[in-house]
Amino acid sequence: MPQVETRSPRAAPRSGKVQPPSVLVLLVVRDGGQWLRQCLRALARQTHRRIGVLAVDNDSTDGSASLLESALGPERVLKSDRNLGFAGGVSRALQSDMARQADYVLFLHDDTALDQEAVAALVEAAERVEGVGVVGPKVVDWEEPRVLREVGLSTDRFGYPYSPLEEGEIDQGQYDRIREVLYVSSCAMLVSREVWNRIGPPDERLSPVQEDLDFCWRARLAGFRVLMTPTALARHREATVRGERPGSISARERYFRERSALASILKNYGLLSLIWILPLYLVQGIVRVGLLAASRRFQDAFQLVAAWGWNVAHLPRTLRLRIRAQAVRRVPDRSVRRSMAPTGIRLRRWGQTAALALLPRHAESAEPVPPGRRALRFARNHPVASAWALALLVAALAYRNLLGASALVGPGLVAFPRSPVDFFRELVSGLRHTGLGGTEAASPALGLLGLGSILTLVNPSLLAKVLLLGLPVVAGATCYRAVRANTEETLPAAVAGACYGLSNVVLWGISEGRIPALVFLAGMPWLVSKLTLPFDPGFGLPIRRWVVGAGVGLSVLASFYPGTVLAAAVIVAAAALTPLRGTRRGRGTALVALAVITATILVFPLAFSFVRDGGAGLSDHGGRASFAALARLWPGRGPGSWPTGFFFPLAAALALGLASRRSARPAFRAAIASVLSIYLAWMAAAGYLPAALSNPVAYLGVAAFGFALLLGLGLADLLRQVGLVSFGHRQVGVGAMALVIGVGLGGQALQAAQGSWAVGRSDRLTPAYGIVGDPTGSLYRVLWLGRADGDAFPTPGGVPDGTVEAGPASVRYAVRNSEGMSALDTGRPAVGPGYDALERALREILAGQTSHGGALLAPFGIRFVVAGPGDLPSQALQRLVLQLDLDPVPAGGLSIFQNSKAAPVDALIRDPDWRQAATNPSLLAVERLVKPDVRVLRQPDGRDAFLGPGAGASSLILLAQQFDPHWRLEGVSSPAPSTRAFGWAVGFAPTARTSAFEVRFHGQATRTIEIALLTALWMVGLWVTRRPSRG
Amino acid sequence: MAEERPASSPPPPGAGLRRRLVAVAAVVALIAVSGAVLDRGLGPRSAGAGVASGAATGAWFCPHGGSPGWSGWVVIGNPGTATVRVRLTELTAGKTPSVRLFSVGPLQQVYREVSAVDPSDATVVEYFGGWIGAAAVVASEQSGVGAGRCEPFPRRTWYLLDEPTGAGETSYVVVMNPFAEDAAFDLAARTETRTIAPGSLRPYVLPARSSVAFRLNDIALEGPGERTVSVTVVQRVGRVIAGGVSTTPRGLRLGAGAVLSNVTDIPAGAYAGSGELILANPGANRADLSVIGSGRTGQRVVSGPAGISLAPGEVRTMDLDGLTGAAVVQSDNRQPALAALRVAGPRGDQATVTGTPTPEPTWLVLPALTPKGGRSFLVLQNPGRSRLRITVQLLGPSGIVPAPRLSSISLPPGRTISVALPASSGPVTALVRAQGGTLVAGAASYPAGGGYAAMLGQPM
Repeated sequence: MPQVETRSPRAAPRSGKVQPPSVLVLLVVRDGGQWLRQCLRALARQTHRRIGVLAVDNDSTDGSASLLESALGPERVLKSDRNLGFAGGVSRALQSDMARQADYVLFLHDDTALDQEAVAALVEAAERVEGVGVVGPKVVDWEEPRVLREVGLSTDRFGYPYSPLEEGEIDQGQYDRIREVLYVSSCAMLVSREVWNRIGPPDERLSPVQEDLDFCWRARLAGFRVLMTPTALARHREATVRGERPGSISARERYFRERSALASILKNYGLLSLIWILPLYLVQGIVRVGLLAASRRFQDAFQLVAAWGWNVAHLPRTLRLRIRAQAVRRVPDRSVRRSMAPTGIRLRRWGQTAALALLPRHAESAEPVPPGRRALRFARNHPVASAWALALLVAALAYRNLLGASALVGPGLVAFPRSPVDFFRELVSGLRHTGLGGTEAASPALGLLGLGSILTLVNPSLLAKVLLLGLPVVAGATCYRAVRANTEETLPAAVAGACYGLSNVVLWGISEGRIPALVFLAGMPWLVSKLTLPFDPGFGLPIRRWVVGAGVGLSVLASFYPGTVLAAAVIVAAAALTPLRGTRRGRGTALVALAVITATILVFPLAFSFVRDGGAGLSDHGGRASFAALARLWPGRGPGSWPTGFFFPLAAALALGLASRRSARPAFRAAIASVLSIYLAWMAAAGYLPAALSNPVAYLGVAAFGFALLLGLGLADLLRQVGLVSFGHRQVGVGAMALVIGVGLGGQALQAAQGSWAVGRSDRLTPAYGIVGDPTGSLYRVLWLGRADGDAFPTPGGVPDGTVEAGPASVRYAVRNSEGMSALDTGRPAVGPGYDALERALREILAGQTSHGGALLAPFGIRFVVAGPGDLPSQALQRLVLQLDLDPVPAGGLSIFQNSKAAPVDALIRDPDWRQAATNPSLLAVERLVKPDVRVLRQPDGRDAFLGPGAGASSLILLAQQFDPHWRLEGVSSPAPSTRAFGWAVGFAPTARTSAFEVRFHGQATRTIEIALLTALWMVGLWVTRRPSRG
Repeated sequence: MAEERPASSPPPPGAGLRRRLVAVAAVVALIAVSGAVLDRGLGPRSAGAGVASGAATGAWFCPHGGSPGWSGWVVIGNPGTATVRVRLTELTAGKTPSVRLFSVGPLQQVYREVSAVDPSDATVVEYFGGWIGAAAVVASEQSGVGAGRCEPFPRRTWYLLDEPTGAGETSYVVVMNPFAEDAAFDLAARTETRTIAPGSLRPYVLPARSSVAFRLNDIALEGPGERTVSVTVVQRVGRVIAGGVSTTPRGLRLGAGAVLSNVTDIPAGAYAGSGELILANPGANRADLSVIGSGRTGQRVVSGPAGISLAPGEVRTMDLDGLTGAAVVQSDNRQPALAALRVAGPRGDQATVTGTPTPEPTWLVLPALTPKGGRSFLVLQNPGRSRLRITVQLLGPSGIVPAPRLSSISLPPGRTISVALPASSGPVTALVRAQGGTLVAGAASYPAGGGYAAMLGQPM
């Protein structure tokens, strides 16, 4: 803030006859009975000689009017029969003759008490400095006058208020100089007659907050200066903000502030400034609304939107006032902007808040210490900051090859669509456009991915990168929070977070590019903390809020990674099995059941699919059946092969042994969950669990957080006790833990820092895949085959859809278009009659029963069968080679077979044999098929419809997607009903020669209703779990 | 008086912690042991076999060739109990393939005439709904009859051992590509003394769904001291099937691909005449071979006490006198080799028979005859060490042909016998089943009108 040089008063004092300027105090009162007396008393003690008071009572109901009348006399009290607001009250008072005769008016709140020299000091400042129109006092706290409240105010370019004061800053004279400011508070504002004559009264629409900004801004535009003088002192109670006055605005303060800010911008900026300020304002406003909504502060978000609405509704009046304000303009905008706070003031504030959280102030020793010890001391005093610094260092090294990539590709990394709109389109569509299609409901995760894509500059590829690289860090952070909540210690929590973030299962997730699994791993600590809460004796949260909150969280995680449900089951089982007194098993189980029901309702279309398909969507076969690998949380691929990975279970076991009684409950729970999960992971990977329960990754996630929690609990207990007892087991334990964790974390960090990820730049795509590439991406499909484990296929094959058992020729498989696995598949299992038929065909091929595998795969639109190098069992490869109609294509790095018989995915087939085979359930009819005469059906942009040329009476219209009866053939004289072509696909067999036709989907209405219902349910869920407004 | 002790003394400091540490260590040890048991003892569940429909499909590829004035047939035998649908596709260089569809009833044998007027003529027999066997027979008024079994699948390398180009002899190598993608292969000829690899055939690109014939006489004429020409066809891109057809003054014969193996059993034929054994060693090491003759009365070593040693890449043709039934070629140093047997009929007509490395319990032996018929023999070789009880079922155009004397044949170990099939019922297919071991079965025929043909049966 610029400091103002003071100089001699304008007029030289005339000896003996100089009259000081007259000041009329415009006191606006509204139910101020509690503090009004002090205000009046302070006015009565003013040393300024020519002072008068005119009060406006805003329909007070607490006797304030009577008090005013008895103190000032009835003629000096203007009564209003309604609340005009402060600005309205001032405006009314300014219309009086008294106001017109006064040299200065002093706007005064009824909860402000002036120092006895205040008015004189304000007048003196106004008189001494040239061009001053408005002067404000130094404002201190009503009850604690040492605490500064205001020393002049400013805003950023968008009207966001700024004060140089820190919260609770003590007045030590540090602001004791006259300062030129953007505006001063209306709690005590001296205004020269010249000013209000020229710019008019305050804008009464803007009460109750920041009408002073607009008024002072206008004064500044008119060429007047606005000063704060420290020689004038005022105590301000801020009764309205504190909610001490009836009709408190504290709940809607954001609304009023935003409303005033935008109105001030619209009125006071010049046209040229508005051209760039308004778009920027709009962008930052949308971002703010988005962030508020994302953090479930819906009331705050609504207040912003409502403030914009108010300004739109009042735009005509605002424009009229703008014309008046601009008419008296004397100075350009840049002159006003000089008094504004820097643009990045908000970012700086957030940064300071974050820094305070990360680096809590500690008393530093004044004695000089060696750098090494100093670093250690810093690490101990600031574990979170140290963890962040190390995390950034490791991430910088680990991601060095990924950060600069334009787009990442990897084995399990899904292909993100080109536009966020595609996410939303798939979400609301009644059709599935991935895999073998059908009417499988899309996961609500697509909505979140769409929103995320918008936030990442409308760039879904960028979102993929942000998620892949950011989620491991988030996983560490959520683990830190969860462990800290259990231990109330930051150092153990930071160590546990680091261990979790660098655990093998997380590193595997990065390496394989498994974003849904990383979402699950990032949410895992939250899930454990949330679900185990009602099993504890001290659970005291509102039940409805807990149930809905847990349900919403569970549904979010499950919509990304359905296996979350299995993890939740293990967590609940572990909580219920904890053999300690006081465990509230009944309550816990009942509440978790309610949460699961809530989650089911929030994803009900998806839940129906899961139930219908026997829970097939819950499975994920990633993980090898090696107990030694799974015990160190290593699914078998990616970084994690080093034995240092054993540090985690080892440290957890040590921690369990060393944990105190105080940590017994969470420690037992974590131990049971971890051990149970490791065994379940092995059984799932080894194929001993039913398909619906086979998800080693989900179990490893539980085990990983269980280890982290144990480690945190044990470390916290040790650190608490180690200094209290004499040398013994605990001290040895601390040493052992430090050694194990140090070596383990170091090893894991080194492995990560090597950056040997399976994901990477586009060069991860095998050059041979160019043979398979289809520019349209949708004409034909690609069938990926590999040995029957759960590994992802080579890029871009993605994670397998299922397995086909055929003895030693057993394989895992996936059906993709040429772009590979799509993010639109998120949370959706590959199930249905089409997949059953495909598995049947594959079994036939792999069992060596047929030599016409190409014909069997032709109706699926499978043009290529692809396998990674060495990934296919030799028996399976042998049997593929024997297929007469699958021609091996020479390609380095991949085994590729081309199927010349494949029909396009959506085609008119002019071949009676195809028509006959489509209606014949026997495989033999299909095996006899030859390469058909086809016409590809054209799909109009964005529509679930296909256009075709004329079709003969013996032709077949085939949509190679899973059957749904809502497909209709239109544009023909005798529409044929859709049939289950080949037992699973959509087919039409025209009975007569037809001209051009259209095939349309008529089942969208059901999905639209579902989406509307889902939207409503999610809104209710989010509203119930909303966070309180911060004003 | 005993010292009085407090009723419950407090545990010493650290005792609880010690106990807990011991308990945790025990649990960790238990988990580690159980993990080891799971990994090494139990292991992953083995994948199920899966249930297939059981309705087999497959194909036979017959690169039989032909010449103007020749006739050709594909003979098909259905040993199953279900009617099998057949798609027969004829390939000829420069022509669009022609396709025929028909059915073969259960336990039936059918002949279908196919084009055999161009050296590149070849036929694909695809079957749906059950397994069938197929063989090709070509006949010429002047040259006699040639028969060869069809091939069930393409191979990476084809070895055609007996494609003579001596005086009055003409041989063609027929290469077919019935698949949807173009193929490229290298063709090289080899005699006892030299190797010829024409640049124009390295590689040769064969378009999809076509066949081609190479006149070997244009590539490698036999010189002095050379008794035959062997051909190697190595596929580079795509898939091909190769076969050979030769006309000599001593008859017409079809040559099928020989299989590289340590042991090759070649059922020679019914005529106890002379034979020539063609051996080749395509490997990189010397192959030491023994040849054992197998007949009605027993076995004897016919390669002499020193055996035969083939240098890498060597082809050798040797006379086998007094061969009565079958030849067994076995490698003494585990270096696989190739073998084919050229045998002569009673009137000097010749046939070339390739062998098999894998005896099987069940064989389908198709007739090496034209539909006109002739005398036909079933050659049964027992390479094992136990006596076999063999039943033979004959399949004719109308179904099973009664043959009571073939219902039970006993074959001692190491013996080879020839069984005459009834001539009255015309050409028949023999379904041979052995109990108590495995055997090798083939056919030898004297077609009506003259000639001699022999070929290996098809294992089931």
